[in-house]
Amino acid sequence: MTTDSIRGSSDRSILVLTSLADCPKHGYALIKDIEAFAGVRLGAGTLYSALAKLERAALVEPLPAEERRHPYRITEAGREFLYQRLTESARIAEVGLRRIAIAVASS
Amino acid sequence: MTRRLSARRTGELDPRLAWLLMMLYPRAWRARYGAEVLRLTRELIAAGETTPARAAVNLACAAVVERCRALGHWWRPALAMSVAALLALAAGLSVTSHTQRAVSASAAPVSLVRFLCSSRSAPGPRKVPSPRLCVALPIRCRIGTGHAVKVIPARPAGRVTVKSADCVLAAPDKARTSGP
Repeated sequence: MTTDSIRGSSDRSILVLTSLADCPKHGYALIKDIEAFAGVRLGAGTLYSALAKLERAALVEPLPAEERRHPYRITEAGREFLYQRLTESARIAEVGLRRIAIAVASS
Repeated sequence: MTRRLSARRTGELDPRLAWLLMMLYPRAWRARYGAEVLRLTRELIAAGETTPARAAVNLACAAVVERCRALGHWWRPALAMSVAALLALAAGLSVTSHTQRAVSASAAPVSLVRFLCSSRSAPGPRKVPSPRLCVALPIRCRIGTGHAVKVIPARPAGRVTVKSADCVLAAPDKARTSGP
């Protein structure tokens, strides 16, 4: 499992990494957080599928259980990967928004 | 059964169904994440965030994804090839049903004609998709298994409408005309 396979997959991995960017979270907190900032409600199976993939790629790691819940935290490699992906997305978004603005202004 | 009913009534994930869903996952995945994912599912259901049915569907879908992932990367080209083959088959059937090839009726292989006849189930002419010959067979060409129908040579090329009198039983040891 490499970061390329994460890159080629859907945005669920990015959502999980974004949620973990500030502090470690367990499954339920991840689902609620992702729903709050992205408006996407992940199922338990979907979430753990993404977490498993990220863990195999060493982008997240599990922490010792707290009250029978396993929190996960982003690794240094995961933070770097997320930074690159978000920078790319921001650049594309900037170009797209600029072009829309030009098209709207000229019409 | 009682446990399942009570689970359904209280909006919990039926333990037997949960076990079954977990069995869908690869063993290694199940050993590592099974307990966690089930606990989270129960939390979500208890909090009213999801229903048992929706949670079950989500777990099943994720299990399929994990199974495919566990197979390695070869399943992607295999899946792509399967989809491509199905599309090609659908396209081929669509094209050949609208195409009339100029092929002599006598060139039709007996096995093909046998297939056409044995697959026929309704009366009246119809187009039969075939890259070599498009034959409209009458109902009287329907014959039992083990026999074949020979199309009389020198029929018009291309789409051929076979009359009953043209159907000849080609039994291994006996041949007779099936016409009136």
